[in-house]
Amino acid sequence: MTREIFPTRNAAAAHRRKSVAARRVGLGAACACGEKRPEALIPNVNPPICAACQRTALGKSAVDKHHFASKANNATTIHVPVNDHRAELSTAQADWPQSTLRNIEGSPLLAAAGCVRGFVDTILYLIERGLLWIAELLENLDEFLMKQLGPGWWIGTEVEQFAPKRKPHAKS
Amino acid sequence: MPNPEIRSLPIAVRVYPQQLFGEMVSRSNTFWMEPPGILVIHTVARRDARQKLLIGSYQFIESDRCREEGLFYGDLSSAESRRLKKYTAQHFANTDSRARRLRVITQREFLKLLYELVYKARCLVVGFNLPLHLSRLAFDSAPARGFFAGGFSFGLWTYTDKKGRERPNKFRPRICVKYIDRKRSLIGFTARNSPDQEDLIPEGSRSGEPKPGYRFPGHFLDLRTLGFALADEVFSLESACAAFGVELGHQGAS
Repeated sequence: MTREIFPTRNAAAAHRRKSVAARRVGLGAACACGEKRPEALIPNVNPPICAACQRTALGKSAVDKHHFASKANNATTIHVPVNDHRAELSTAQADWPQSTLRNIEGSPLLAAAGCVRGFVDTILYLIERGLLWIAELLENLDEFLMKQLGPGWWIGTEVEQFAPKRKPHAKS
Repeated sequence: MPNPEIRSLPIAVRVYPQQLFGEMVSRSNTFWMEPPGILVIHTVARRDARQKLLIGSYQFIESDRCREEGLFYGDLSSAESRRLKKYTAQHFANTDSRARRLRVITQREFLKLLYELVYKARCLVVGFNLPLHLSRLAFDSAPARGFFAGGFSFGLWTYTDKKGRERPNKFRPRICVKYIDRKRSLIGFTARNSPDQEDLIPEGSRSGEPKPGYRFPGHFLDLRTLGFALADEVFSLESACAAFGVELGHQGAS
Protein backbone atom coordinates (compact mmCIF):
# COMPACT_ATOMS: atom_id res chain seq x y z
CA MET A 1 0.00 0.00 0.00
CA THR A 2 2.78 2.41 0.90
CA ARG A 3 4.42 1.67 -2.43
CA GLU A 4 1.15 2.62 -4.17
CA ILE A 5 1.26 6.09 -2.63
CA PHE A 6 4.88 6.58 -3.52
CA PRO A 7 6.02 4.67 -6.66
CA THR A 8 9.02 2.38 -6.34
CA ARG A 9 12.41 3.47 -7.61
CA ASN A 10 13.01 0.19 -9.37
CA ALA A 11 9.78 -1.52 -10.40
CA ALA A 12 11.53 -4.60 -11.80
CA ALA A 13 13.55 -5.29 -8.64
CA ALA A 14 10.46 -4.76 -6.46
CA HIS A 15 8.53 -7.22 -8.61
CA ARG A 16 11.31 -9.80 -8.32
CA ARG A 17 11.38 -9.51 -4.53
CA LYS A 18 7.60 -9.84 -4.34
CA SER A 19 7.52 -12.84 -6.70
CA VAL A 20 10.26 -14.69 -4.85
CA ALA A 21 8.62 -14.02 -1.48
CA ALA A 22 5.27 -15.31 -2.80
CA ARG A 23 6.88 -18.44 -4.24
CA ARG A 24 8.70 -19.23 -0.98
CA VAL A 25 5.50 -19.37 1.07
CA GLY A 26 3.49 -21.21 -1.60
CA LEU A 27 0.53 -20.41 -3.79
CA GLY A 28 -2.37 -18.70 -2.00
CA ALA A 29 -0.79 -19.11 1.44
CA ALA A 30 -2.42 -17.29 4.36
CA CYS A 31 -2.09 -17.44 8.13
CA ALA A 32 -5.07 -18.47 10.27
CA CYS A 33 -5.22 -14.85 11.46
CA GLY A 34 -5.87 -13.69 7.90
CA GLU A 35 -2.38 -12.37 7.15
CA LYS A 36 -1.68 -12.89 3.44
CA ARG A 37 1.34 -10.70 2.70
CA PRO A 38 4.05 -13.17 1.58
CA GLU A 39 6.82 -11.18 3.28
CA ALA A 40 5.04 -11.53 6.64
CA LEU A 41 4.59 -15.30 6.32
CA ILE A 42 7.24 -17.79 7.42
CA PRO A 43 8.54 -19.88 4.48
CA ASN A 44 8.42 -23.70 4.50
CA VAL A 45 6.00 -23.98 7.41
CA ASN A 46 2.86 -26.04 7.06
CA PRO A 47 0.18 -24.85 7.84
CA PRO A 48 1.25 -21.31 6.87
CA ILE A 49 1.86 -18.99 9.79
CA CYS A 50 2.77 -15.32 9.96
CA ALA A 51 5.70 -13.96 11.96
CA ALA A 52 3.40 -12.34 14.56
CA CYS A 53 1.46 -15.54 15.26
CA GLN A 54 4.65 -17.58 15.40
CA ARG A 55 6.23 -15.17 17.88
CA THR A 56 3.07 -15.16 20.01
CA ALA A 57 2.98 -18.98 19.99
CA LEU A 58 6.60 -19.04 21.18
CA GLY A 59 5.81 -16.56 23.92
CA LYS A 60 7.87 -13.82 22.30
CA SER A 61 6.99 -10.22 21.54
CA ALA A 62 5.24 -9.57 18.20
CA VAL A 63 6.75 -6.07 18.10
CA ASP A 64 10.08 -5.33 16.41
CA LYS A 65 12.52 -2.47 16.73
CA HIS A 66 12.88 -0.98 13.26
CA HIS A 67 15.98 1.03 12.31
CA PHE A 68 14.07 3.67 10.40
CA ALA A 69 17.16 4.99 8.56
CA SER A 70 18.88 1.55 8.36
CA LYS A 71 21.32 0.36 10.99
CA ALA A 72 24.34 1.69 9.08
CA ASN A 73 23.03 5.26 9.07
CA ASN A 74 21.35 5.87 12.41
CA ALA A 75 20.91 3.88 15.62
CA THR A 76 17.41 5.23 16.27
CA THR A 77 14.69 2.59 16.29
CA ILE A 78 10.90 2.69 16.35
CA HIS A 79 8.55 -0.03 17.57
CA VAL A 80 6.42 -1.61 14.85
CA PRO A 81 4.43 -4.84 14.57
CA VAL A 82 6.67 -7.60 13.20
CA ASN A 83 4.43 -8.29 10.20
CA ASP A 84 4.52 -4.63 9.13
CA HIS A 85 8.26 -4.54 9.78
CA ARG A 86 8.82 -7.41 7.37
CA ALA A 87 6.15 -6.64 4.76
CA GLU A 88 6.14 -2.84 4.66
CA LEU A 89 9.14 -1.08 6.16
CA SER A 90 11.96 -3.52 5.34
CA THR A 91 10.48 -3.98 1.86
CA ALA A 92 10.50 -0.22 1.40
CA GLN A 93 14.16 -0.07 2.48
CA ALA A 94 15.05 -2.75 -0.07
CA ASP A 95 14.06 -0.22 -2.72
CA TRP A 96 16.72 2.26 -1.58
CA PRO A 97 20.06 2.53 -3.37
CA GLN A 98 22.34 -0.15 -1.91
CA SER A 99 25.03 2.45 -1.20
CA THR A 100 22.62 4.38 1.04
CA LEU A 101 21.20 1.29 2.72
CA ARG A 102 24.57 -0.21 3.59
CA ASN A 103 26.75 2.93 3.79
CA ILE A 104 29.85 0.79 4.13
CA GLU A 105 32.27 3.75 4.34
CA GLY A 106 30.13 5.60 6.88
CA SER A 107 29.57 8.65 4.67
CA PRO A 108 27.70 11.43 6.52
CA LEU A 109 25.92 12.40 3.30
CA LEU A 110 24.62 8.89 2.72
CA ALA A 111 23.61 8.74 6.39
CA ALA A 112 21.62 11.94 5.87
CA ALA A 113 20.08 10.48 2.70
CA GLY A 114 19.15 7.38 4.68
CA CYS A 115 17.47 9.48 7.36
CA VAL A 116 15.43 11.34 4.73
CA ARG A 117 14.40 8.13 2.96
CA GLY A 118 13.59 6.41 6.25
CA PHE A 119 11.55 9.38 7.46
CA VAL A 120 9.55 9.42 4.21
CA ASP A 121 8.91 5.66 4.39
CA THR A 122 7.85 5.87 8.04
CA ILE A 123 5.54 8.83 7.41
CA LEU A 124 3.93 7.02 4.47
CA TYR A 125 3.46 3.96 6.67
CA LEU A 126 1.88 6.08 9.41
CA ILE A 127 -0.32 7.88 6.88
CA GLU A 128 -1.62 4.55 5.67
CA ARG A 129 -2.07 3.02 9.11
CA GLY A 130 -3.09 6.12 11.05
CA LEU A 131 -4.97 8.33 8.59
CA LEU A 132 -6.28 6.60 5.48
CA TRP A 133 -8.68 4.40 7.44
CA ILE A 134 -10.29 7.56 8.85
CA ALA A 135 -10.95 8.86 5.33
CA GLU A 136 -12.56 5.55 4.41
CA LEU A 137 -14.61 5.59 7.63
CA LEU A 138 -15.89 9.14 6.90
CA GLU A 139 -16.86 8.20 3.34
CA ASN A 140 -18.76 5.13 4.53
CA LEU A 141 -20.43 7.11 7.32
CA ASP A 142 -21.55 9.82 4.87
CA GLU A 143 -23.08 7.16 2.61
CA PHE A 144 -24.85 5.60 5.61
CA LEU A 145 -26.26 8.93 6.85
CA MET A 146 -27.36 9.85 3.32
CA LYS A 147 -29.39 6.62 3.18
CA GLN A 148 -30.79 7.01 6.69
CA LEU A 149 -31.54 10.75 6.78
CA GLY A 150 -31.61 11.78 3.12
CA PRO A 151 -29.60 14.40 1.17
CA GLY A 152 -28.41 17.42 3.16
CA TRP A 153 -28.61 15.43 6.40
CA TRP A 154 -26.18 17.88 8.05
CA ILE A 155 -28.42 20.96 7.60
CA GLY A 156 -29.63 22.26 10.93
CA THR A 157 -27.20 20.14 12.92
CA GLU A 158 -23.92 20.89 14.73
CA VAL A 159 -22.12 19.46 11.74
CA GLU A 160 -23.37 22.18 9.37
CA GLN A 161 -20.62 24.58 10.47
CA PHE A 162 -18.09 22.27 8.79
CA ALA A 163 -19.92 22.20 5.44
CA PRO A 164 -17.94 23.82 2.60
CA LYS A 165 -19.01 27.38 1.88
CA ARG A 166 -20.54 27.71 -1.56
CA LYS A 167 -21.48 30.83 -3.52
CA PRO A 168 -25.22 30.98 -4.20
CA HIS A 169 -26.10 30.30 -7.84
CA ALA A 170 -26.75 33.51 -9.86
CA LYS A 171 -30.38 33.75 -10.97
CA SER A 172 -30.88 34.43 -14.68
CA MET B 1 -46.23 -14.27 -47.13
CA PRO B 2 -45.07 -17.89 -47.60
CA ASN B 3 -44.31 -19.92 -44.50
CA PRO B 4 -40.55 -20.05 -43.96
CA GLU B 5 -39.13 -23.53 -43.89
CA ILE B 6 -37.67 -24.40 -40.52
CA ARG B 7 -34.52 -26.46 -40.83
CA SER B 8 -32.16 -27.55 -38.11
CA LEU B 9 -28.53 -26.61 -38.57
CA PRO B 10 -25.55 -28.04 -36.73
CA ILE B 11 -23.80 -25.43 -34.64
CA ALA B 12 -20.53 -25.53 -32.77
CA VAL B 13 -19.83 -23.57 -29.60
CA ARG B 14 -16.29 -22.91 -28.49
CA VAL B 15 -16.04 -22.63 -24.72
CA TYR B 16 -13.11 -21.52 -22.58
CA PRO B 17 -13.98 -22.68 -19.06
CA GLN B 18 -12.17 -20.82 -16.31
CA GLN B 19 -11.56 -22.81 -13.15
CA LEU B 20 -11.83 -21.00 -9.89
CA PHE B 21 -8.71 -21.29 -7.76
CA GLY B 22 -10.50 -22.99 -4.88
CA GLU B 23 -12.09 -25.58 -7.15
CA MET B 24 -8.95 -26.41 -9.04
CA VAL B 25 -8.39 -30.15 -9.13
CA SER B 26 -5.12 -30.76 -10.90
CA ARG B 27 -4.17 -34.26 -11.90
CA SER B 28 -0.57 -33.23 -12.31
CA ASN B 29 1.57 -30.53 -10.77
CA THR B 30 2.19 -28.85 -14.12
CA PHE B 31 -0.80 -26.51 -14.51
CA TRP B 32 -0.02 -23.12 -15.98
CA MET B 33 -0.90 -19.87 -14.27
CA GLU B 34 -0.62 -16.51 -15.94
CA PRO B 35 2.40 -14.71 -14.50
CA PRO B 36 1.60 -11.31 -12.94
CA GLY B 37 4.52 -9.66 -14.74
CA ILE B 38 5.11 -9.33 -18.48
CA LEU B 39 8.24 -8.20 -20.28
CA VAL B 40 7.66 -7.16 -23.90
CA ILE B 41 10.77 -6.96 -26.05
CA HIS B 42 11.67 -5.99 -29.59
CA THR B 43 15.09 -5.62 -31.18
CA VAL B 44 16.62 -4.19 -34.32
CA ALA B 45 19.87 -5.58 -35.73
CA ARG B 46 22.51 -4.18 -38.03
CA ARG B 47 21.99 -5.04 -41.67
CA ASP B 48 25.12 -7.09 -42.14
CA ALA B 49 26.02 -10.76 -42.07
CA ARG B 50 26.54 -10.86 -38.28
CA GLN B 51 23.22 -9.13 -37.49
CA LYS B 52 24.51 -7.77 -34.20
CA LEU B 53 22.10 -5.97 -31.93
CA LEU B 54 21.74 -2.30 -32.78
CA ILE B 55 18.95 -1.24 -30.49
CA GLY B 56 16.01 -2.73 -28.65
CA SER B 57 13.01 -1.64 -26.68
CA TYR B 58 11.24 -3.15 -23.69
CA GLN B 59 8.17 -2.61 -21.56
CA PHE B 60 7.67 -4.11 -18.14
CA ILE B 61 3.98 -4.59 -17.35
CA GLU B 62 2.77 -5.56 -13.89
CA SER B 63 -0.91 -6.15 -13.09
CA ASP B 64 -1.93 -4.67 -16.47
CA ARG B 65 -0.02 -1.43 -15.79
CA CYS B 66 3.14 -0.40 -17.59
CA ARG B 67 5.71 0.13 -14.83
CA GLU B 68 8.81 0.72 -16.88
CA GLU B 69 9.67 1.38 -20.49
CA GLY B 70 13.05 1.80 -22.03
CA LEU B 71 15.59 1.25 -24.76
CA PHE B 72 18.75 -0.81 -24.76
CA TYR B 73 21.60 -0.67 -27.19
CA GLY B 74 24.57 -2.66 -28.46
CA ASP B 75 27.76 -1.09 -29.77
CA LEU B 76 26.79 2.31 -31.17
CA SER B 77 28.85 4.79 -33.14
CA SER B 78 29.07 8.33 -31.78
CA ALA B 79 26.54 9.54 -34.40
CA GLU B 80 24.12 6.76 -33.38
CA SER B 81 24.61 7.62 -29.71
CA ARG B 82 23.77 11.26 -30.42
CA ARG B 83 20.64 10.22 -32.30
CA LEU B 84 19.57 7.99 -29.42
CA LYS B 85 20.17 10.80 -26.91
CA LYS B 86 18.08 13.16 -29.04
CA TYR B 87 15.28 10.60 -29.31
CA THR B 88 15.11 9.98 -25.57
CA ALA B 89 15.07 13.72 -24.88
CA GLN B 90 12.02 14.13 -27.11
CA HIS B 91 10.01 11.05 -26.13
CA PHE B 92 8.45 10.01 -22.86
CA ALA B 93 7.84 6.55 -21.45
CA ASN B 94 4.30 5.24 -21.60
CA THR B 95 4.16 4.43 -17.88
CA ASP B 96 1.78 5.32 -15.07
CA SER B 97 4.64 6.45 -12.87
CA ARG B 98 5.29 10.10 -12.10
CA ALA B 99 8.79 9.84 -13.55
CA ARG B 100 7.94 9.22 -17.20
CA ARG B 101 11.53 9.17 -18.32
CA LEU B 102 12.44 6.68 -21.01
CA ARG B 103 15.14 4.51 -19.47
CA VAL B 104 18.21 3.93 -21.64
CA ILE B 105 20.48 1.04 -20.72
CA THR B 106 23.26 -1.00 -22.28
CA GLN B 107 22.77 -4.52 -23.62
CA ARG B 108 24.53 -5.92 -20.55
CA GLU B 109 22.23 -4.00 -18.18
CA PHE B 110 19.22 -5.20 -20.13
CA LEU B 111 20.40 -8.81 -19.90
CA LYS B 112 20.62 -8.39 -16.13
CA LEU B 113 17.05 -7.05 -16.13
CA LEU B 114 15.95 -9.94 -18.35
CA TYR B 115 17.46 -12.46 -15.93
CA GLU B 116 15.90 -10.79 -12.89
CA LEU B 117 12.43 -10.58 -14.43
CA VAL B 118 12.16 -13.58 -16.71
CA TYR B 119 14.12 -16.17 -14.71
CA LYS B 120 14.08 -15.00 -11.08
CA ALA B 121 10.62 -13.38 -11.02
CA ARG B 122 9.24 -15.78 -13.65
CA CYS B 123 7.62 -13.13 -15.79
CA LEU B 124 6.17 -13.83 -19.21
CA VAL B 125 8.43 -12.62 -22.02
CA VAL B 126 6.56 -11.53 -25.12
CA GLY B 127 7.81 -10.65 -28.58
CA PHE B 128 6.96 -11.00 -32.23
CA ASN B 129 9.21 -13.68 -33.69
CA LEU B 130 10.71 -14.08 -30.23
CA PRO B 131 13.46 -16.61 -31.15
CA LEU B 132 14.97 -14.01 -33.49
CA HIS B 133 15.12 -11.36 -30.75
CA LEU B 134 16.59 -13.83 -28.27
CA SER B 135 19.25 -14.84 -30.80
CA ARG B 136 20.22 -11.18 -31.25
CA LEU B 137 20.83 -10.92 -27.52
CA ALA B 138 22.93 -14.09 -27.43
CA PHE B 139 26.67 -14.12 -26.83
CA ASP B 140 27.16 -17.63 -28.22
CA SER B 141 25.13 -20.46 -29.68
CA ALA B 142 25.47 -24.25 -29.75
CA PRO B 143 23.40 -27.23 -30.86
CA ALA B 144 20.80 -27.96 -28.20
CA ARG B 145 20.57 -31.32 -26.46
CA GLY B 146 17.89 -33.39 -24.76
CA PHE B 147 14.33 -32.16 -25.19
CA PHE B 148 15.47 -29.42 -27.57
CA ALA B 149 17.78 -31.68 -29.63
CA GLY B 150 17.87 -30.43 -33.22
CA GLY B 151 17.44 -26.83 -32.07
CA PHE B 152 19.71 -24.05 -30.87
CA SER B 153 21.04 -23.28 -27.42
CA PHE B 154 21.79 -19.60 -26.82
CA GLY B 155 24.04 -18.31 -24.08
CA LEU B 156 22.94 -14.80 -23.17
CA TRP B 157 24.74 -14.11 -19.92
CA THR B 158 28.48 -13.73 -19.67
CA TYR B 159 31.23 -12.75 -17.25
CA THR B 160 34.69 -11.30 -17.77
CA ASP B 161 37.52 -13.56 -16.63
CA LYS B 162 40.83 -12.53 -15.05
CA LYS B 163 42.42 -12.08 -18.48
CA GLY B 164 39.64 -9.73 -19.51
CA ARG B 165 37.96 -12.20 -21.86
CA GLU B 166 34.18 -12.47 -22.04
CA ARG B 167 33.05 -16.00 -21.21
CA PRO B 168 29.64 -17.71 -21.03
CA ASN B 169 28.31 -17.71 -17.47
CA LYS B 170 27.54 -21.29 -16.37
CA PHE B 171 25.72 -19.97 -13.32
CA ARG B 172 23.04 -18.56 -15.61
CA PRO B 173 20.65 -20.70 -17.66
CA ARG B 174 20.85 -20.88 -21.45
CA ILE B 175 17.80 -20.46 -23.65
CA CYS B 176 16.99 -23.25 -26.09
CA VAL B 177 14.90 -22.79 -29.22
CA LYS B 178 13.61 -25.55 -31.43
CA TYR B 179 11.57 -24.70 -34.48
CA ILE B 180 8.60 -26.96 -35.19
CA ASP B 181 7.72 -25.05 -38.36
CA ARG B 182 7.86 -21.42 -39.46
CA LYS B 183 4.94 -20.51 -37.21
CA ARG B 184 5.77 -22.38 -34.06
CA SER B 185 8.81 -23.00 -31.92
CA LEU B 186 9.60 -24.46 -28.53
CA ILE B 187 11.49 -22.10 -26.24
CA GLY B 188 12.78 -22.83 -22.75
CA PHE B 189 15.50 -22.30 -20.17
CA THR B 190 18.09 -24.97 -19.50
CA ALA B 191 19.26 -25.84 -16.00
CA ARG B 192 22.10 -23.83 -14.45
CA ASN B 193 24.89 -24.54 -12.02
CA SER B 194 24.15 -23.92 -8.32
CA PRO B 195 20.57 -22.64 -8.58
CA ASP B 196 19.19 -20.74 -5.59
CA GLN B 197 16.67 -22.52 -3.38
CA GLU B 198 13.84 -20.28 -4.60
CA ASP B 199 14.60 -21.28 -8.21
CA LEU B 200 13.95 -24.93 -7.33
CA ILE B 201 10.39 -24.27 -6.19
CA PRO B 202 8.10 -25.69 -8.88
CA GLU B 203 5.53 -23.47 -10.57
CA GLY B 204 2.26 -23.34 -8.65
CA SER B 205 3.72 -25.03 -5.58
CA ARG B 206 1.43 -24.65 -2.58
CA SER B 207 4.02 -25.63 -0.03
CA GLY B 208 6.88 -23.51 -1.37
CA GLU B 209 9.30 -26.39 -0.84
CA PRO B 210 12.27 -26.58 -3.23
CA LYS B 211 12.35 -29.72 -5.35
CA PRO B 212 15.92 -30.88 -6.07
CA GLY B 213 16.57 -31.11 -9.80
CA TYR B 214 13.65 -28.88 -10.77
CA ARG B 215 14.31 -26.72 -13.83
CA PHE B 216 12.16 -23.67 -14.43
CA PRO B 217 11.30 -23.83 -18.16
CA GLY B 218 10.35 -20.15 -18.47
CA HIS B 219 7.29 -18.40 -19.87
CA PHE B 220 7.80 -17.36 -23.49
CA LEU B 221 5.10 -16.08 -25.82
CA ASP B 222 5.82 -15.61 -29.50
CA LEU B 223 3.18 -13.27 -30.94
CA ARG B 224 3.65 -14.77 -34.38
CA THR B 225 2.42 -18.11 -33.00
CA LEU B 226 -0.42 -16.40 -31.12
CA GLY B 227 -1.48 -14.56 -34.31
CA PHE B 228 -1.47 -17.84 -36.20
CA ALA B 229 -3.51 -19.54 -33.45
CA LEU B 230 -6.10 -16.76 -33.46
CA ALA B 231 -6.43 -16.05 -37.18
CA ASP B 232 -4.99 -19.14 -38.92
CA GLU B 233 -2.71 -16.86 -40.89
CA VAL B 234 1.04 -16.32 -40.88
CA PHE B 235 1.56 -12.63 -40.15
CA SER B 236 4.50 -10.32 -40.49
CA LEU B 237 4.75 -7.71 -37.72
CA GLU B 238 3.25 -5.07 -40.03
CA SER B 239 0.36 -7.27 -41.19
CA ALA B 240 -0.31 -8.46 -37.61
CA CYS B 241 -0.53 -4.84 -36.40
CA ALA B 242 -2.95 -4.06 -39.25
CA ALA B 243 -5.04 -7.19 -38.64
CA PHE B 244 -5.37 -6.67 -34.88
CA GLY B 245 -5.93 -2.90 -35.07
CA VAL B 246 -2.70 -1.71 -33.45
CA GLU B 247 -2.62 2.03 -34.12
CA LEU B 248 1.08 2.65 -33.59
CA GLY B 249 2.41 -0.58 -34.95
CA HIS B 250 5.69 -1.37 -36.57
CA GLN B 251 7.10 1.80 -38.13
CA GLY B 252 10.51 0.56 -39.17
CA ALA B 253 13.87 1.72 -37.89
CA SER B 254 15.48 4.88 -39.18
